Amino acid sequence: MTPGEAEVLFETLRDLKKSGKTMVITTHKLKEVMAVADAITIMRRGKTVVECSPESTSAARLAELMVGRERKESLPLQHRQALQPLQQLQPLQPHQRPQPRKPGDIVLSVDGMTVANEHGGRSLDGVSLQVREGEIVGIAGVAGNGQLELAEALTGLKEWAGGQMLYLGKRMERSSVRERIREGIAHVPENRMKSGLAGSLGIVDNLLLKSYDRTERSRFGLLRKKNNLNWAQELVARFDVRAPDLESPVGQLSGGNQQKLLLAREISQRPKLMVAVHPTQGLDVGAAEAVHAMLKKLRSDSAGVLLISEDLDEVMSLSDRIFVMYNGMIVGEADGAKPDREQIGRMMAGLNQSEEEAVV
Amino acid sequence: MKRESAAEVIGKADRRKLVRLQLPFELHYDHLKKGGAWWMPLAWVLAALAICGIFIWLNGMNPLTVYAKMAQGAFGSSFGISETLVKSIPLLLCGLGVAAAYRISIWNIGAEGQLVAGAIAATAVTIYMPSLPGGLYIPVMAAAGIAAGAAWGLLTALPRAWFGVNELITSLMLNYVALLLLDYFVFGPWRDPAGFNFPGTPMLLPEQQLMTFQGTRLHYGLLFALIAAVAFAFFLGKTRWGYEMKVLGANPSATKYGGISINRHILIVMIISGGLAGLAGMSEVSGVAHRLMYGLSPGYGYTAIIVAWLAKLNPWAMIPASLFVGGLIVGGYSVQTIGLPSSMSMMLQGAILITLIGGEMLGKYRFVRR
Amino acid sequence: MDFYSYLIIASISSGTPLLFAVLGGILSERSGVIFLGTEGTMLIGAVVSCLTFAGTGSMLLSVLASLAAAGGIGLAHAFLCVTLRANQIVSGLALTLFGTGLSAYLGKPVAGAALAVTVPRLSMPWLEKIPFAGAIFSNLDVFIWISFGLVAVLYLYIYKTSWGLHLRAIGDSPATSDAMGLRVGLTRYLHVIGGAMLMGLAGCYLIMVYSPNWMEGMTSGRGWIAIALIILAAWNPLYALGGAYLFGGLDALGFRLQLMEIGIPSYFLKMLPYLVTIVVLMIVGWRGRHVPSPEPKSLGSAYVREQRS
Repeated sequence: MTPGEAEVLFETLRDLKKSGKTMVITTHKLKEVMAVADAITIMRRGKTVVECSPESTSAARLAELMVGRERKESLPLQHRQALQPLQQLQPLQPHQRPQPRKPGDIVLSVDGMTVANEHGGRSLDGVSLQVREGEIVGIAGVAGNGQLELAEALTGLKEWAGGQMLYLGKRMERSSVRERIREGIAHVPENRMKSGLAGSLGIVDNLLLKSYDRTERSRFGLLRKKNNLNWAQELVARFDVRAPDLESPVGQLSGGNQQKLLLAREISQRPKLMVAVHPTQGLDVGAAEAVHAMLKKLRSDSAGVLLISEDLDEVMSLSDRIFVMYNGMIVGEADGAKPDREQIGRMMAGLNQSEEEAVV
Repeated sequence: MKRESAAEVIGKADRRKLVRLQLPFELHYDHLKKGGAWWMPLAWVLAALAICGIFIWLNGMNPLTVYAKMAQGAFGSSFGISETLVKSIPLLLCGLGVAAAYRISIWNIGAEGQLVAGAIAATAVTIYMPSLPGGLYIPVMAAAGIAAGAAWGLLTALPRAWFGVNELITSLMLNYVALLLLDYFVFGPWRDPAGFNFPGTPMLLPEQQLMTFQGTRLHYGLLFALIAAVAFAFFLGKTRWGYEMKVLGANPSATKYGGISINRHILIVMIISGGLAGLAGMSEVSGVAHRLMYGLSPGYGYTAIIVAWLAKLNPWAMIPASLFVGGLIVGGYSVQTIGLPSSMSMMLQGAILITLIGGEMLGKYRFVRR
Repeated sequence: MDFYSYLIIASISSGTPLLFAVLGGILSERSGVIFLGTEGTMLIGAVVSCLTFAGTGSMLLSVLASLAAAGGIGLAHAFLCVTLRANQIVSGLALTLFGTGLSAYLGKPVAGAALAVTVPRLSMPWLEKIPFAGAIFSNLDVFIWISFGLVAVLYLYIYKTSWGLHLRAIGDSPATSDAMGLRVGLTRYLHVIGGAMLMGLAGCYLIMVYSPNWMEGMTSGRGWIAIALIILAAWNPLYALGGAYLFGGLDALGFRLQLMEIGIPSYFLKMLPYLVTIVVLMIVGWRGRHVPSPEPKSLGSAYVREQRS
């Protein structure tokens, strides 16, 4: 929801409360909790950790309790510092942002992208944007305004009805998924268990998904078992994927480890463009931080990252530039270093800067 | 339909808790667990035998004597064993074929039609190419059988790939069409004029028949089947194609995302399926019946489905599975002498399949200490 | 009456077993369970009603017996698919195999013997006054009238009642229905068993009216054509009517063409229904390629409460 819509929801909930109804809300969004709840219960691993009221605690304390003291120690140093000043949940202070670099050459240039939808209309209508080396471009917006179609069209999963896509100077809007993978476009899908991973297969098989036809992984049509096993072990260690062993079905791993596995696979391809859709959905604070760290590393390795997320805080805290999508179009741009939350919220709701009425 | 209120649901759960025993372990359902231990299919087969045993008993006979006679007939003499092996050849070939398709959830039940298509093609070689040098007959017939079976398989694959037509129905319909085609040829243009109205072609010449092992009916088609099994296992386990099949079977959405083409695999798998079944058809004509005739296949294509499922789609397991089911069929014939119809074995096959799939779920439970 | 009237009556008669079977399949699939045991269930329905009639001479008892036997097969399928969460496709195949074998076994004593049965007909000679259509409807048997009624009842049930709404909800999204308090498992059981009973009724009609002579495998694939017809009918009882009579017509036409000796070998004429099924499915598939399918979205998947995602 847009910030405005969320406020309307909270008002509705407060009204329901006044008329005597009781509500149970499950969420991991600390802001919602602090805004609406009378009583808060924190659960971890199926057990209640603490019960308290919003007056007696702060969002920072809640975050600590959610993650658990032991986990904090395992985070890299700079991210521990990032967790502490969470009092007002504002975007990160300038000195803690990823160091702004001079963005390099254009990796991706999209012009007039148009995609048709099932009912004869358009899910994307003339979208144009650019992503450069070494920058994170964030796409903010309420879910259902064309973000998924944007990701699918860029990665070859959806057909283009119009427009063109230049990737590293090459026209790619008609290329197959395979070709795009080979050229170095990585994709973290919005539903990791549905599209990204095969839950009943093991870690090695899942890691192979995008690279199994390269000569390092298979020769003359035969898979190089030993080789692949070592490669998988290396990746698992490097990306801190916690699993009982390499053969256990990845469906049994926690959401955070599944996502780390997925990113391990994508990042090990040394992509030049990463399209990440809701990369921290359903992840706890620790795993989310690890994912953000990976995206920042990609950025510092001169790749371009397109971050598509419903979580406005995430977009605002990571992006160098922010585009807002509404109704299949880009309706506004904001500076990542000094984003104006209210303005972005209005754009997400379809309210144009210069007009008071909603864009239809 | 009356909906349960929340209070009723909670009340029911509470009552159930009171009754449950406090055992030192729990059963947890794990939907990802790859089915139970290897011996579970054996347990289910025994259960099926028990169920059919009830039917036999209700008909006034002793199930144990019946089963003993079946085992005797199938494995108790060298004749029995060679007959069982003869039956297991088409079962193994067709079973491998349908297993390939089932691994990616392509429900090919057209093995029967594909077998018949292969048989017809192989016979066509003998009829329309009467002057081939002797040694060439077998290879050409085999090639024709494979090609015809593969083409019949493609007839199922293409509507599925292009129009989304359910392959189950298409392959089934094509079975009936193939059988009618067979009828046409053996009652019509290819019928043996000297055959006293027997619905079959003239006997094949010696060089058109598959050689047999010393003094038995067991023909070299056995080699086709075993080689196919080994090749299948190799391709599945070690090649890129096998990997793609694995992913396709585990999560079709992920394959699209990884750039693997589902349609291409549908076509490949049906060509393999059909080709293997067609080879089975050729070997039945050339090695067993030595002619094309009415009733060439007593439902091998359908029985092969059970073989495939019994083996959990694993090529190595399919070798013993095809032997077992072959023995069932031979045993079924041998109990005809004590008054049971041969359809008895069809009932048994159905019962085995039922207990197999019913039992699959039980294999997904695991014991967890409290 | 002329050739065409006879042909239409023959089409209706030939299409009625298909109609019962398709209606049964629609019931089951609407709840999300695919039932491929149609062929075996029809055979069991036929053989049981044949044996009961031969033993008791009562049509009513025969029908009830075949309903019960078919319901038993439906119960087995429901148990396997809903409670044991087995693969629905293989379960149906297994039940077809089992049913085919069992029916051959049970039918041995009466094989080939003509059944001396007369089915009551609803005779309305005053209808013959209406040109063309009247002659067709003036003397149809009760089963056909029951089938008409069933089409209407099922149509109203599925589309116009709240039970039907619940049924469609369960078929499309059992997870949501469960969260709303609907009894997914019970609904599926009831509809699979009910559907199987209708398929048994189809077999019963086949032997009582259409071909009163038990033979192994006498359904000749009608069960499978019925399964295809479910798709063609877009899971709608009204369209099922049209589809069943279309195929009944093909059957009747093929028969008549054979009798007329127009030079095409009978084998190819008999292939007509099967080939037409494939072609029609291709056309439907091609036409519907950009439109969301009317198929119940949870068709074929077992509902596991813990796995809602």
